Amino acid sequence: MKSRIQSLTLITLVFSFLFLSIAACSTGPEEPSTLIYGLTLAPTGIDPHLNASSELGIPLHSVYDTLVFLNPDTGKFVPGLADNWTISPDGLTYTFTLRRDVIFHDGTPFNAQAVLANLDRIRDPDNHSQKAVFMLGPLEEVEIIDDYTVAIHLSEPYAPLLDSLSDVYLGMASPTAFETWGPAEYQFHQVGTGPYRLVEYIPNDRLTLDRNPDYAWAPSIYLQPQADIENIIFRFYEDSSTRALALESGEIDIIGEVPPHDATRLSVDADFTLYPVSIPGQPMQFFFNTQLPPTDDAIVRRALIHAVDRSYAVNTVFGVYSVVAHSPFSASAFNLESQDLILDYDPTRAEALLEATGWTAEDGDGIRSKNNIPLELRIVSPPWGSNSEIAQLIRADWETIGARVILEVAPGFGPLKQAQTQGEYHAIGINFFGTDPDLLRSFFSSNGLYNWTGFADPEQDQLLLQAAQTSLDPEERLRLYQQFVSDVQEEALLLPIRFYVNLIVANKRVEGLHFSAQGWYPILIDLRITH
Amino acid sequence: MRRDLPALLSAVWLFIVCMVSITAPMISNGSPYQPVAEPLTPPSQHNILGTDALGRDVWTRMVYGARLNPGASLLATAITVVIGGFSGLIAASISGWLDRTIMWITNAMLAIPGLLLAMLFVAAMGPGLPTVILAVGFGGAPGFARLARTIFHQFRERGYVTAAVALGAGRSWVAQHHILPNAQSQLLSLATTHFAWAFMGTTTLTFLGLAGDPSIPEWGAMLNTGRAHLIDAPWLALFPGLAISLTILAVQSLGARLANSEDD
Repeated sequence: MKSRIQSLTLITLVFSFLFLSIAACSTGPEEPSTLIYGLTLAPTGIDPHLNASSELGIPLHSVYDTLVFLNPDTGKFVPGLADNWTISPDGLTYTFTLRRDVIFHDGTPFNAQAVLANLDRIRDPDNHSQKAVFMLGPLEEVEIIDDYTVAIHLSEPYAPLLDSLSDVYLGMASPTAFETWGPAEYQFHQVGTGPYRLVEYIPNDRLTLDRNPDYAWAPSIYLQPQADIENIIFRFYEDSSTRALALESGEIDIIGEVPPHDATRLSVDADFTLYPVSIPGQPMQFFFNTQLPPTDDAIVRRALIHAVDRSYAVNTVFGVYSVVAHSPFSASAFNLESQDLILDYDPTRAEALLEATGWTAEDGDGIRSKNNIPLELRIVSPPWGSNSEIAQLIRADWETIGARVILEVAPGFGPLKQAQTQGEYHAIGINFFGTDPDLLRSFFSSNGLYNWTGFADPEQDQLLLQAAQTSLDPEERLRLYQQFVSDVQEEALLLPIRFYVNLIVANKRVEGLHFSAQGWYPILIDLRITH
Repeated sequence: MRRDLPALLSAVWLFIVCMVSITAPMISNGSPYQPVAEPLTPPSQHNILGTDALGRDVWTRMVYGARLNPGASLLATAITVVIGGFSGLIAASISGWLDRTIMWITNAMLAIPGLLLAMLFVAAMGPGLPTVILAVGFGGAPGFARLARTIFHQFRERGYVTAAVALGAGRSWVAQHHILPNAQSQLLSLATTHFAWAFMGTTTLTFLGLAGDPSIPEWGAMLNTGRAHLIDAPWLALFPGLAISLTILAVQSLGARLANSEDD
């Protein structure tokens, strides 16, 4: 009896080993490889021509190619779907020579007609493009010179055009596809020329890409000629506290925007790698309202900047991954971080400046006042990112130098804009991302859409316009922006906090992860999975 | 005596909360808004309940919270009692179409949970602690009106009320001189139980970030920010969570004791 049980056990063991080895073989290189990528926001629409979310580019940057690409290391433009291009001496005409060997995922050939159809789709007022149409600036006419040559005519010089054309929002889509599906449905059936094809998109659930086997026109910023991984599935993790757990449980392979304390924990974990990626654009920042006393006084604004211990704030909220920002813009080709006019943490100086402008604390309640008006400051903070944590520390620092501070967190962009329109704020937070500093024009021009400082100076307007129109001389353009930055620092128009660093964590089996110049978009073609 | 032990402990806890809130500036460690030490310092000699993610002293914030939370709930309860009690009284003393209308409105509003009603109110008015107080006050009113009406109704059937009416007393005179004074003790125990609901309501709304100001030293808001640090700094959620639970428990059991004592 006993020996029967023993032999039974033996047989079972042998069989299980056999099964296990068979199972192990089947997960070899034959199996199509799949990667799960966590997204942090479920966008309301993912049509790059029509919608504005940064998140949509994470999958779609690899579905579309652009006429040109921006090299993240050099800040120079390299050929994409356009082999080369020329800019007319007056800066008004850009002529692109297109590649002749490109076909869309649905078999439609890529040519000058396709470029025209794409730009027409973006400019069609019925399509209500939220971002792409603005990126085209003063575009007047698109002219087909021959099948593979296309000219873009502008009504005035517009230096950011190439930058716009290198972003996913102006990616080239198959005219057959978007004409078949119409503006509402196309986002579920997107067709580009990129290294991956969109298979399926179920909002709030998943987005699936598969490898484009015909891809043969990789730009020089891609390291591999073809994608390695068969399928990439994107899933949504909007609650930031669930992201690290999803990685640790093996649900996903990669995710961005991991909270700093989780990132620190995972960075020392042998199973994961942390990739901190700087995102170009504006820093997290608080604009001073120059239209409302006491922040209408530049000296008070300087005092308020000196009063804030930004190193402490940045270290506390963002850990070791970020440094304090001093300028209103940063990108690889536009290093505007000037060292001349840095207003460092110096509470003594802050108090001296306030004393000098008549804000004194003589009545003994600890709150400064001038002509019997107490020094009262109202901060309005956006709810996203860590703006509200930073705002709490700003509040603490301003209270230390004798101000009474009211802090309000607007629960969304709508309420934030509403608070701004009402004008009852001394400092308000907002920041956008982008690779071209022309972004600053809408924030610092007198009539800019986001002129939340209320500052109006014709000379500054002229400087920003001139910089936007300097298309042919990048060095002159950089010099103009440097001039602008020192003007802004002189006027102390904003309290910059830090430039965004996206904390992306991937498990160790993922290799080759790097990002496009815009910072947000992974170069999926170069990803590999090791077994 | 054994029966009274929970009530006794509850009273002790509420007394402690009261004392702490009165003496807050003396027993705290400076301002509840200022960072005082390294962020996320565990409880220690200097920071007995540790520090939060921004380096603020948790004890100080808890102590100031002892002023905000019970105060806010008390105000909300007062609003509920005045609005709910008044409409209940009117409905009970003037029967007929007015009673039916008030109860119809109350029932319609009861179809929506009180907390949801409060959240809708905050959504319409914009965030802030005063809005939260008003919202919870209004949100609790329909339920309170219904219960108050039932209490008032009992007294309307009493012999002395019938006698007074027979002698020609008007409805408002009867309400003022007979119904309201006699219903007082029952209303008080109802209000006490309601206070626990209001406490839960205000902390829920502030937990959801509806207080507007994230730096507010308020237990619900503190519990919410502590949620992100459950693994690396559990004390951030533990202490406000404990304080909220203990207070609700204490008020509930005192309310129950109060209701029982009437039956004795």
